[in-house]
Amino acid sequence: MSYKIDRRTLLRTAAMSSAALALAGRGAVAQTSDAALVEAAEKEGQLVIYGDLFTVQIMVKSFNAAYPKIKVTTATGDAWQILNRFISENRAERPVMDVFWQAEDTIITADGAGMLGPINFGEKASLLSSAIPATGNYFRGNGQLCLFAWHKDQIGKNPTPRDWTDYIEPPAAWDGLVATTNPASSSATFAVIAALYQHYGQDKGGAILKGLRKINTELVASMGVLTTKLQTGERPIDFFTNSNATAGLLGQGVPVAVKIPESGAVAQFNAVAVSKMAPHPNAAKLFVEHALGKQAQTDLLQAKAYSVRKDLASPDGLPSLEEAKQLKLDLVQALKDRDAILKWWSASTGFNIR
Amino acid sequence: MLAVLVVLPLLALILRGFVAVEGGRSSASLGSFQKVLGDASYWVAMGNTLVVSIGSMLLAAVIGTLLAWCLVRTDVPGRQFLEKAAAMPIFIPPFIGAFAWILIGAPRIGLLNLSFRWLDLGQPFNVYSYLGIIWVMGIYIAPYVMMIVAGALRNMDPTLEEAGQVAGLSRLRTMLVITLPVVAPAILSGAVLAFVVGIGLFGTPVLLGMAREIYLVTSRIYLELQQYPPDAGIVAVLAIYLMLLSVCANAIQRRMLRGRSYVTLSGKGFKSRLVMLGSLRIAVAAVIWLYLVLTVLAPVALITAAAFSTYAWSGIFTWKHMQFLVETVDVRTTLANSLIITVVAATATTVLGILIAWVTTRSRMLGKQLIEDVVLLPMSVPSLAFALGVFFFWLWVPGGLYGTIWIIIVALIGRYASYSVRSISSSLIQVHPELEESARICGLSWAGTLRRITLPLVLPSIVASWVMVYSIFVSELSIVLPLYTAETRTLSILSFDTWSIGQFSQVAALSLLQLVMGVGVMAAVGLINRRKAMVVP
Repeated sequence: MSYKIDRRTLLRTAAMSSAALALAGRGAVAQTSDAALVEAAEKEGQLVIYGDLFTVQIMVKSFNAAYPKIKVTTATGDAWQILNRFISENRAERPVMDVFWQAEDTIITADGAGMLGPINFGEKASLLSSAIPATGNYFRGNGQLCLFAWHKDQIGKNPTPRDWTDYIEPPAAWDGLVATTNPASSSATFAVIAALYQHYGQDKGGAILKGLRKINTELVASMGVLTTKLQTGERPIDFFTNSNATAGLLGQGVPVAVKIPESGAVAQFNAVAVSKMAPHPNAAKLFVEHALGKQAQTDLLQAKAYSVRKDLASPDGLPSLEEAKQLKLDLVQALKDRDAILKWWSASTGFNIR
Repeated sequence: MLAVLVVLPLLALILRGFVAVEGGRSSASLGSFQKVLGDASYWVAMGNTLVVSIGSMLLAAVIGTLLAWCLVRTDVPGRQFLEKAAAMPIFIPPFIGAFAWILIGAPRIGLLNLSFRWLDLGQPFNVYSYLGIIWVMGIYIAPYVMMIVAGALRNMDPTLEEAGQVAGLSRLRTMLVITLPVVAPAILSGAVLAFVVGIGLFGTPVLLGMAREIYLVTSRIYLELQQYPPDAGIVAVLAIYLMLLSVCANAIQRRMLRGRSYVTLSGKGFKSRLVMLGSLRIAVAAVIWLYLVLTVLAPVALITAAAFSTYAWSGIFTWKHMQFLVETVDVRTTLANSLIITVVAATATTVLGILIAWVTTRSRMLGKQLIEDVVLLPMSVPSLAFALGVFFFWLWVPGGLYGTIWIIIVALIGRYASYSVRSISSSLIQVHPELEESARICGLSWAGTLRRITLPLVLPSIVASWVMVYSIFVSELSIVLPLYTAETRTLSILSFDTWSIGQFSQVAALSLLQLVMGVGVMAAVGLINRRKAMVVP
């Protein structure tokens, strides 16, 4: 058997081989760089993450599995409290935190205070465009939808919420059944209240909030307490809750119903950033690479959080962030108006901000 | 050392209230006081703190005094066991006690309300109310009063009561007219302690009060720490307010006791004669058992049930949350931190307690009264306020302890050394110096005398002191909250965080672990003591 190779074929083959070799070479360079980063990070041997307990736990487990030689410690809790801790430590020149994985509003605030260092991610093209902010030293790390939820057994045949405007004249049957959280301490709540403010305006939005007071809505200490009260049925209707929490409840078999409000849910994101004074900068960089990579994002997805990668779907039973009807939220603007929004919420609901 | 442990943190706290920080520059200012005094919500919090603390103090004083009288002066069946068991609520962390009482008395889902609803009797209980908070705080603080009053009752000359009965007084009137006035200083002392413990409690007001917007000063401090930007000046002023309340309570106590003599313990030996309850014996025992059910048995049973449930009251049980305890890195890390911090701090506190007790009871050192006064000072400072002082002090000390477990250990020692000193001093006073003098005459050195004579004689109180501070430290939340960092989180912080994110069953599992750590060590020490007592002829 003989083959006849013409000059054009030979040149094409040579070109393809060169390209392949070049690509392979580039891969080798990238791998070397990754190996160097891993080595440097393992030499540091430690990583400190501050942030939201739900996702940080998942991230730590995922990171530990990939890099067992790096000891990870965490401080988790309410977003603003954790931000205060981070800023106090840095201002006293006692930096402890390397990576901040927390609600986007606190990350923007930390960035505005000059506390964050530059951040990079090797596979930017694999991220959803919404994961990359126009400005700022951070990436969005995972998302969640703020939507309606209620305890089916406890609500029985009583009416259930369909839209935010249902609260303008809430049914009497909801008296004493609804709970909500404080936007001054909860980032998810701030996102929702700011979205109502921006979408409905002060009057109509204010009427929704005043409705909460009419039915003796309870102001609870945190989103977690809200989830507990929904789970136990003590307050069987949440003014809103987040998709992560409801997914967790459904996973435990709690009879909870979930609904996207007819006017739209509110999307809220956690973001990831590196401290400008990170004591373990290489471990921090390695964590960012891992956290936005496919494995860690898959781990988040399995815990029913929204991934920020293009190559991963939305959590089971939930629409994708692109498909879900949403109230638009300009978070940067909302943070500029934060004091006004909080005062408006307080005046409308009668709850104290602090 | 006492300056670093006690004085400087308290000074730092007070000074922080008079400092304004703007653009990184600090200046003297009364701005924080003006903000607090000019804002009605802080006044409401101060008023709520007074109402709840006085209410729980009164409840604790009544329960504690009755328990002490029944267990020390009557023939109630099983009184020795019951006296030990009645002290148990102290070792249930306040946060866990409040969590358990939500399961018992919350509207709609509390077991008591469910039972009443099942009987068509409505929902009479609401733990999220002033009365609910006062009830939960009062029943858990009552053992402090009981222990102090029980000690006084044991030292009381029973001939006083006998004289009353000879004069024709009934048992009840004897108790009211003779016994109560005689032990009044102890009741007052217990009540003041209950008040001071009450104003400093953090977990109970946050869990029970915030649901109905009943904010106390401690919950306001917690909220302030959550705000951005935080106002450390306001936090300091609120903490100073708590300190002032404590100082006032102690001053009132001193004023009430001034110029009166309550001496009943003389050189004459006596043996207490028990009051025979007759047909009431069983009823009284049943009431004491009810107290134990409400404070210990029911909460522990409910927490256990919750820890093994898939969710809330699902009726489906699982080992999943126990696996969470075993498999989660956070649990392992915080457990290790808690054990290290607790054991080191309890041991250091006890050693410091021995040294200071020896100096104040045995030495002729100049200024020993000042040492005692300084070490007892934090006793009247709520834990959260003291911890904030430690935080303000160490955060700005170059090369200091901030970020290490040592800052938590130092704070625990500073805050609770007084407990050890009190406990060990009271035993040292009972050991006559003649014993030590004889040993010195026989040629033993000072250290040898201490090691071979003094310490063995007061060993039971040293062990008791260690167990007491260990039990407090193992569940301490208020001290740790402002001081922990990522590497120094404790189990109590993890429990609180887990509650914050709504992991109901995991909170219950963590609570169980904390209970085992506290009660387990107590039981182990008790067992060792019993075996030693059996071996010694």
